[in-house]
Amino acid sequence: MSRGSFLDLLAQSPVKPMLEHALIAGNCADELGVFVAALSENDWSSAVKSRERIVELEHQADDLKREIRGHLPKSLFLPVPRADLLDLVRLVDQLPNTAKDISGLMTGRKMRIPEGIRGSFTDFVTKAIGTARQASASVERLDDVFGAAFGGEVAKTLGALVRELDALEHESDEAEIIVRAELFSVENDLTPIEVVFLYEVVKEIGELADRAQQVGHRLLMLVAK
Amino acid sequence: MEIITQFGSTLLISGCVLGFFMAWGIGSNDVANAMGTSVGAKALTLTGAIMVACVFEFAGAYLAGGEVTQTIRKGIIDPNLLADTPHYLVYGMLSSLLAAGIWLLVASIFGWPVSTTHSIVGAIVGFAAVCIGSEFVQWGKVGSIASSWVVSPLLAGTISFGIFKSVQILILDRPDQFQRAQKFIPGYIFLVGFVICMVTLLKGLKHVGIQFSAAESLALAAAFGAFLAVVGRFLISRIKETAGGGRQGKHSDLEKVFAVLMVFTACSMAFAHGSNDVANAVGPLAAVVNIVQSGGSVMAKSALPGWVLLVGASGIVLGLVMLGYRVIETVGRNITELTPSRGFAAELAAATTVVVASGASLPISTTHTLVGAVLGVGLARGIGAIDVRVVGKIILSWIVTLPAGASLSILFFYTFKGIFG
Repeated sequence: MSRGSFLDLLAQSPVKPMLEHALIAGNCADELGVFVAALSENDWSSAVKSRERIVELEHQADDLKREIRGHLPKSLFLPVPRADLLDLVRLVDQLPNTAKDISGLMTGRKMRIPEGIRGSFTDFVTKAIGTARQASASVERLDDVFGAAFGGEVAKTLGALVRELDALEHESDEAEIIVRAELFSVENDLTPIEVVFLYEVVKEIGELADRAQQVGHRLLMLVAK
Repeated sequence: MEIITQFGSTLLISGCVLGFFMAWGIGSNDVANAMGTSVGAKALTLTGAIMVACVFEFAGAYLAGGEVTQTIRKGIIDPNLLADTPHYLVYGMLSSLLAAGIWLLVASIFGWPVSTTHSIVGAIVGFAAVCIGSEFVQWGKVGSIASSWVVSPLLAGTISFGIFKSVQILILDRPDQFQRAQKFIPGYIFLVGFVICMVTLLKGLKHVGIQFSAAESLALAAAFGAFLAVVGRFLISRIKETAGGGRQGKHSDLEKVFAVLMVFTACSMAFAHGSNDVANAVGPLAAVVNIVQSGGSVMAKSALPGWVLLVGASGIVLGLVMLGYRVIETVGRNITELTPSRGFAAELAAATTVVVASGASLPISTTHTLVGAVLGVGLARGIGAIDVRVVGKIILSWIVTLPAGASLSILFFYTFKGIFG
């Protein structure tokens, strides 16, 4: 029996679930790398298993997203605008979604990566995933940001991480151009439907990197005064 | 007059029992708000918190509780005006204790965040204004008490905002947080010792028979603060940075240093709470004791008997030991978001405000002051999420408490009048 404590004032901070969410997003992107590697080696059973893990991680991310939203009612007073936090969560959540879409498309169509583009394709995927990794690692610094009560020093460190992210996204863009060029040169040897979907997959992978970059920029806006 | 001499001991014993029960209630319930912050932030273990609370609540109540007690006893109603009917004052004070006690019990059952201070002040003003006449209430004093209820959370919020901002600039927003924390935290410990000691020396010790000049107090407080800072420095120097702990490790190392600071602020919080809240229990008792012992004369000038404060102080400690630990445990377990680097700023600001109010003989709500202090840290962007609805609930229960305490004490007043005449 006790009178209501004023400490009910302290609601659950969104930081911890957000870190976890970003970590899962990063892991999901990593798993996409495993998936593509298995596929390009024509190891179908490993690819299917990897695809299952991607779906599982995407589910976990969705659950966490819902939990974060559920714990951020309008009555909360937060150190940053609530809409900004929710938007960041939404953007981070697009990373596993995109990984799921890519792996889904490739599994569903039982896609094979043509020998002629295999090297540059793998390089492109690796770079896009690296960008997503960097984005999730930047979000994982949110606890430093909250810990230092949004101080300028932490914002600087985060700025450096996001600049790195920009550079990675740029590299991924360059790699995409190479893949598209190589695909163009071999496309006459493939069936038209295969080609259409290969372009589709390349586009989606490029979007993974783009969305990762958006995460970084949203994060910087959140931290900026 | 005859009533006082006829039923003197009955009234006196009732006063003691009710006052002691009230203090017991404060110990079992209100102390949790003062100590829960430290336990929740893991700066103190539960046992540690109980020990700190026992010692410093007692010290605060006994050493610095006199001023506010006098306000409750004779500041709200002028006893001189009741020279012909002193028994009304006795009934009223007993009614107020009973009313506040019952209201707090009801609040406990429903889990409302109700303030002890507001209950007792509402009860006293209520019975006086309705049962003996509103001209007996010193409205000027009541006005200043009421405004202090608004000012104290604001003041605590401003102080905690400033303290936390300084921590952010000096320590948190630096690459070498740990080293800077070790360097600056003894300074904050000095501040804790200095403020508490200064106010107590200037205002509190009168009834114990010790009086210092301002300069002497200043020197003593500075010496006390410096002594605490040295002790704190020693404790901090024993905390070593864990090598290769990663970023998570760095965070917890830093909070360990702040936890040392928070032990000191927890002591000051307990002291401040004791100094202000003991009056809620023993203020009315003091009034009763005074009239009964003098055989019916109101004698507003007479000193506050020391044993009255002792009754209150022991009541608080007993309540704390019997039930308080459980409430502290519950309250503490529910806070995971208030780390020592935040909690200390809130506690230091609240303790300072409460001790200053105790020195200025104003009965304020420790809990509301803490609410203001926590919001101050929040405004400095120090807290992940604050549920503003709780503030609304607290304000609402404040507004409801005044008429509730008043109506109950009016009811009991007429009951006593019916029994004793």
